[in-house]
Amino acid sequence: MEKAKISTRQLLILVLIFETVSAIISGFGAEAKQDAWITAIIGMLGGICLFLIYHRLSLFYPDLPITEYAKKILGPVVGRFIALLYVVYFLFNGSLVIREFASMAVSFVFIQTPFLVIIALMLVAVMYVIGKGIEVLSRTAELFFAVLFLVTTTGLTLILTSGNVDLQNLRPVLEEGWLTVLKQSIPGTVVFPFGEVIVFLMLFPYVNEKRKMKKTVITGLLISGCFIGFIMMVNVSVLGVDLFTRTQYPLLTTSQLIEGRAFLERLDALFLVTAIVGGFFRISIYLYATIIGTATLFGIPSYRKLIIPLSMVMFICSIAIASNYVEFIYTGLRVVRFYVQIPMLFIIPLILLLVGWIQEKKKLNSAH
Amino acid sequence: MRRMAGLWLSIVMIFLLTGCWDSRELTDIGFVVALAIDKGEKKNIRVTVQIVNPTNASSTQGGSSPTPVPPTTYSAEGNNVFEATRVLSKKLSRQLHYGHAVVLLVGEELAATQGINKLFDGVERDSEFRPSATMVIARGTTGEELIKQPTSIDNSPAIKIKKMVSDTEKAFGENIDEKIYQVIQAIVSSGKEPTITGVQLDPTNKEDKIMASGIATFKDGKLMKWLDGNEGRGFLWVLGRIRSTLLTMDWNGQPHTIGIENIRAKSSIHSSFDKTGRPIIEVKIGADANIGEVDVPIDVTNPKVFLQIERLYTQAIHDEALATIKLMQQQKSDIFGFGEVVHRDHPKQWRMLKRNWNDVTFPAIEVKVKVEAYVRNTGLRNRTILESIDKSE
Repeated sequence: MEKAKISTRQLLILVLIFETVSAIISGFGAEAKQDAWITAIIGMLGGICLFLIYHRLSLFYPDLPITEYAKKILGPVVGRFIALLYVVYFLFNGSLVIREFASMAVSFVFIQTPFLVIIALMLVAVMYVIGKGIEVLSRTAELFFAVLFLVTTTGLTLILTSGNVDLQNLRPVLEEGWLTVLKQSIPGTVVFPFGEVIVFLMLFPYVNEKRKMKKTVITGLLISGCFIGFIMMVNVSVLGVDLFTRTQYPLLTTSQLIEGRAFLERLDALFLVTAIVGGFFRISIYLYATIIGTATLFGIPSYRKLIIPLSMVMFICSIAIASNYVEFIYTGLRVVRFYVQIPMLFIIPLILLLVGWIQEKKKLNSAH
Repeated sequence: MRRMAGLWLSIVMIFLLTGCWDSRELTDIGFVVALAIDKGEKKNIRVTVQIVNPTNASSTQGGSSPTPVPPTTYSAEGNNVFEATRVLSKKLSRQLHYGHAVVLLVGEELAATQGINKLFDGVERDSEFRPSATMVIARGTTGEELIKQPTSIDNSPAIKIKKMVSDTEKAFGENIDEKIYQVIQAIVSSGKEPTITGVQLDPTNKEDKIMASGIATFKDGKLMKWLDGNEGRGFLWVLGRIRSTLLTMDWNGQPHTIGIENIRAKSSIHSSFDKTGRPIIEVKIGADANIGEVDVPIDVTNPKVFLQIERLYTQAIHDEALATIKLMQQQKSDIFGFGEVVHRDHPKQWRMLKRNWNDVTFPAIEVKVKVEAYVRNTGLRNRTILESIDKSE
């Protein structure tokens, strides 16, 4: 742990960037076809429910990250094991994110460039900002948020005025019925990206106004859910259902179709830059959580010593995770979703919450 | 010591952080502006690319009108599109870059025999090629022949075809400006068949032979029938894509005497079912127009005459649209996307109808066309000169 404070506004911005970036560039909710936006909304509601668990959990020990109070709640042995699980989970998720952004860059522009180079360069930037501390990271996010906001609104205005939008593509709504959409959303979109807000349990101790924290994060989740849903609506209405489900990066394809306003064509390079900047914060948050988690787990006083070794681990992880894109998608979406995300995002926090509750009750009873 | 290390690090970084792994110099790249796919002689596919000649493209300055220069094209054959484009490198000193390709031409023979369905995957998968390029069928010729034509106003046939197709849809409405992704959307959809505009060689013009001509309709991916003139316009009425066009109508038995200039049109299509469960399609077309030319001595300021003209205009749109619908029902190809409409309005019934839509259901469905057309303005004159001539005589 470092001595640092982040404001609720910075927390909101971090949540917004963290939640939206991956979802809007990847083929989010493609299985639900034209109802992808509905899965975003359901996912958001599910994510808020999960967050309520996390928030209640953080109230037990507001000044400690989850890796610390797991020990206090479940005892040193089991607690350490749980903390280790979370550290590995953050590390693994971070590697997935790096891999995701690197493969986007490779398949779209840097076709001849090896993976290693792109991942290494991204990590160098991330390592630098983490070395500067969470305060600098949040301030950078604040600064870049303005840029991202400007680029996004410009891009969206161009897409919406390009004449490519055909709202008829969104019909028929709920063609396959509620059940199919629900199956796609739970656990699918609930865990990715909304449930991943659990990583903020590592950052909550730094927030200066603890009382506003709950409201802030829920606002962030609401905005990002609506935004993701909106982007998916735009994607489907421009691309049509078939292309939307077949393209790897729907928003990229959508922005490629902007035409007519001759001086503002070919915005895909801008899209890529925006995505990489957003991805930078997502990776930073995961790597930071990993490092702080490890430092608290092993009682290392200065977390900075861990930056280089853990970045190396993440570097190797992101390469070793899969040998090709298909394998990556399979591990990242199918396997992780059920075997990793559900226990990490739902079952363990719930157990922690229940045990914490019982302990609290006992304490109150014995005090009487 | 620290300072030295810092210095060394920054020197090393100068070389590492240039970010030029994939760099390609401008002089090493050949910018493809048009890609033509034809039937090959020895192998399956013959691909022709038109490459921008940088010196030619920028030589518009300096008073003298540019003399038509034949564009630079290269052809190669291969078993599929992707292979053929790679074979091209044997003939080129530059690496091809497809990011600026604006037109994709397909030869009529290839479209009619092998169909277009298999042409798109390589084009789509490539990260450079844009799905927003205009799609064109080379009518009665090959795509290769078309992009080898010199042009007089534009720098290259590719630019000319792109602009021409888009302008003629807006100004006359007998052609359709469909992009690659829209064609793919229609190919994939079970309730809509693709349509692509035709471009042919104009034998009467010696300098600039490229000319838009008709709309190609497809069935099962194969070119089937050309819609020409009013047939093509009937199709665009149904889609509501007519911007501006000219309808000439008869007045009291005198043929082609009143010209109505359409300004805007829109359409909406709805579906319902009759008692026996057969789908009914209702096409509503709304249009606005001005009077463009009157070649009979009538007083257009007279409300009765004006309403009469409006009625004629409404009837003309109705007839054109219905004629194309009837024609395509005979051809058993739903280019209007009526199937899509049924799919959207009644997803449950669509599951049953989808299988035999083109062959059984679509040809037999009842289509109602309702037109609400208004003539708004009479132009700058209210009475025609012919009336004044009549009076003075």
